Amino acid sequence: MRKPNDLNYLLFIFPALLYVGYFSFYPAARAVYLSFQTPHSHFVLVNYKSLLYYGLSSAVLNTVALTVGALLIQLAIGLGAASILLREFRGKRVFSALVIIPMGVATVVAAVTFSFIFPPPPGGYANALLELLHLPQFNWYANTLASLFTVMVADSWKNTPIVTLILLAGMSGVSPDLYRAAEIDGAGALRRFIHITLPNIRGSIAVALIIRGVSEFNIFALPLVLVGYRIPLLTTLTYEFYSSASIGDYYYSLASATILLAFVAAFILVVLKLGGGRR
Amino acid sequence: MTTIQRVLVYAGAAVVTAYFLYPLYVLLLVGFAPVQYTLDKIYPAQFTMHYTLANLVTALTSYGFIDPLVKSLKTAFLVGGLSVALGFPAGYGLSRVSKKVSSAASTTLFVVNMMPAIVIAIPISTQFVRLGLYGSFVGVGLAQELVALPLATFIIYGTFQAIPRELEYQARIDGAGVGRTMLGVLAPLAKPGIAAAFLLSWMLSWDEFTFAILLSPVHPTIPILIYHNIQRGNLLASTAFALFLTLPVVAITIMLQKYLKGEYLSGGVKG
Amino acid sequence: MTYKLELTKVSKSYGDKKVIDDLSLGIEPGEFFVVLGPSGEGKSTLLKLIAGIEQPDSGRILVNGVDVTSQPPNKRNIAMVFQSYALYPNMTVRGNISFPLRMHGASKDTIRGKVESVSKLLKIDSVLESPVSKISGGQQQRVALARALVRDPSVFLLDEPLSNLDARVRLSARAELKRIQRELNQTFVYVTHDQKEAASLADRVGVLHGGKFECVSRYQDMYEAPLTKWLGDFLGDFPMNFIPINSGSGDGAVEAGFRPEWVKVGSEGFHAEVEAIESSGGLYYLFCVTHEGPRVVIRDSVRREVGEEIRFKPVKQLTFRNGMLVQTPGEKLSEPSSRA
Repeated sequence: MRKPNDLNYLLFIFPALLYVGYFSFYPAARAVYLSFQTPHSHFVLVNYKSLLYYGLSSAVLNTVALTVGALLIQLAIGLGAASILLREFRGKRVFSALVIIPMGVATVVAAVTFSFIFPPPPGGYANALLELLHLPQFNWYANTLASLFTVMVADSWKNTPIVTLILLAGMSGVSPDLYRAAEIDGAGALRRFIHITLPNIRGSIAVALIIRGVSEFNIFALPLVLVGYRIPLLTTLTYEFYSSASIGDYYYSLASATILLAFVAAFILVVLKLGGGRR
Repeated sequence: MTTIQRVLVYAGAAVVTAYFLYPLYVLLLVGFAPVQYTLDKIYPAQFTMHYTLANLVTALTSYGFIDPLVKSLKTAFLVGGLSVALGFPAGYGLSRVSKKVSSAASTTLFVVNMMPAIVIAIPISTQFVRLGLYGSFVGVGLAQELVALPLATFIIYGTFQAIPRELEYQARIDGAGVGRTMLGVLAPLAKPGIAAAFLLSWMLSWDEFTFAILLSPVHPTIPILIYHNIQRGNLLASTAFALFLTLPVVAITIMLQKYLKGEYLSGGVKG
Repeated sequence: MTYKLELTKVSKSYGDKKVIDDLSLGIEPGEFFVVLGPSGEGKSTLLKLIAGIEQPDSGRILVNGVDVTSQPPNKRNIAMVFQSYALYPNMTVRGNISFPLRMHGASKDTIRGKVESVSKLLKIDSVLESPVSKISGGQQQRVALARALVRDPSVFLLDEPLSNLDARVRLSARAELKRIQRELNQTFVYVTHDQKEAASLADRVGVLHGGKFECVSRYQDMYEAPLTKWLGDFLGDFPMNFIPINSGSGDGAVEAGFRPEWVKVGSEGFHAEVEAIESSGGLYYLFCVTHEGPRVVIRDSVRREVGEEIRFKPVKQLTFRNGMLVQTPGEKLSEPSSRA
């Protein structure tokens, strides 16, 4: 609205934009550019072709599976926790503080802790609990699916709080009158949840899924500690090439990073499209 | 609420609490119980009466803990400071420009927040080598700032939106220049938001892993030290470091509860 | 020292909306000038332009002949009181009042002396050390005023400074403000939408409409003889009544305008039916529909009933042609008897 003033105030934002431009957008563009090069040639696809031999497709598949699974777990627990936080009960203050604690715990700390709970067989804290309850033992890394599931559970511990807070913000915006009207119409708690809560927090669910979805694609420290390079993900594959000493591997890591960026960019485009429609 | 609903709420709260607290409990157990009750057992006890400080003392004194600690602290304060230095003017500017400009700028910051650290770190690493920043706390901090800046800016932006514009006009009319208006009038009012932005940025850096390991693997911060010790099988040491890393941050998290809102966490995107 | 304020051909748009349109104005040294107008007519924008918070798209602003258009607010030496008071919430009363002095680099002793004397003048010396959030609304308003008065600005700008006070406090604050302005003999520009305020405070009133001054003169003059139909409609507790006249000549719409108090209710003139009644201090305002169609409001000292048939005759009336006042003594209102 106030065009002349915008320019003045833009000066205040400019340093931050310059910063992210130089340290974020420029390197990202450089990564893409360099991924099409080798020490000897320019504009070639050889890095990508080679990646196919080093398990690129399973890395993509594992990353997608991990993302979907982790999102489902976080959404389920997040919906439950947010529904609880929406009500008044004794001890709510303590509970709401407890719920956000995992947010402050470093990923690598979560990884250490879950490596005690889910160590490679035999034993560990989780299996000790199972034994206490006379339930059968479980090999948390028996196959790819089990390993991914173990990573999902550990990751969800750390990240469900964010989902909870976003969903809670959405739920708080739903008018209590809607619930009262439904209650008078004879709808039970479950039906109210399905017919009122869920449709009204669609937006919040979308936001939570997108934000967490992007982060799940970037998941790194947890799988690195829990499963190492055995079950490749886009990030760990990239890091494996990066930490090797060979210069050729450095270019592979750039190619792998570019593929990761492509997935994230697709997510971002979805966000911008959604956001653009709503603004 | 009916009785059944009440029971359900408490039962749900109990299950969620158990899920969120059990891992922390395990961490404390391994950290403070003698190793023969924890990691040396295939089926460790869920509960023990034997406690010791020996694990922590050994770990903190004999594993080269000081250098990583100093590095972590320097990096975290750098990131916190950068967040305020860049986020304060940016948050102010965002609150004063037109809707169109502010949503474009916050979208940009939001995209930065989503940018994979690993993608950025790889090309940056070679440039940092050239600039002599590779392995330094400055290099790590400059990169970690990318994670902190968007969030810090959104928090400060929210704070400024709550300050009436007329106060700023009044200060200008009363004879204050742009700088004195910002530092003398606006900054004191935005103090809680600025403090929150600083603490949150500090905390993000303190916990950060990806940039730290890619840009400074040899001179590690504490999270990287923890990882190295897991790699070497020094589980007790990594547990001790993990506890050391976690306790201040959990305190800060609870302190900042007010600012950890869905609105800020979802950044520029609106539901 | 008193200052003259001049605006020449000032324009300001927000996007496509022209808020101030080629506006010129001269305010005399020591004058109490009131800008009156409905909300959303750019009154506050005008003050912001004078203060330097907003920049005009074109035109110049002069203080004592010196062009200040390009100067930032802190260099203009203008004081302003906002409707919200804009008190610095983190400071005490003393901190607020002394702020402009500190910004202008006054010495500690000067600051102390000036703050004490202005706070005595405004009777807030007892709350000097209180945080501004802990004092009453009336006291807050005084603090805002004290902060403006404490230095020697060229012009005082006041943006509806009394509108957040309750009715009784507002009356005494109004009187006090007028007294202070008289004593200081300073140039005041005061924005309000309240006509009573304008009438009691102003030397001259400028009515802002469509980005321009519809009229600048004494309030009573423009009330008695509004230059335009819009102005007649806007001024007064009740809008001016308008009744079309058969002018005979073909040069546009001609209407007779009269105030509710300019009529005599009796046995001659227009026939009308009372639709609603509002009473105020022993007088009755009758909302009537005339047999010719137009609705009018007339004042009477006798209580009437809703539905009652009355007759009334303007004892004084103005003529408007195409919405503009015809300055010559009014044409005869066409007699309704021809149709009755």
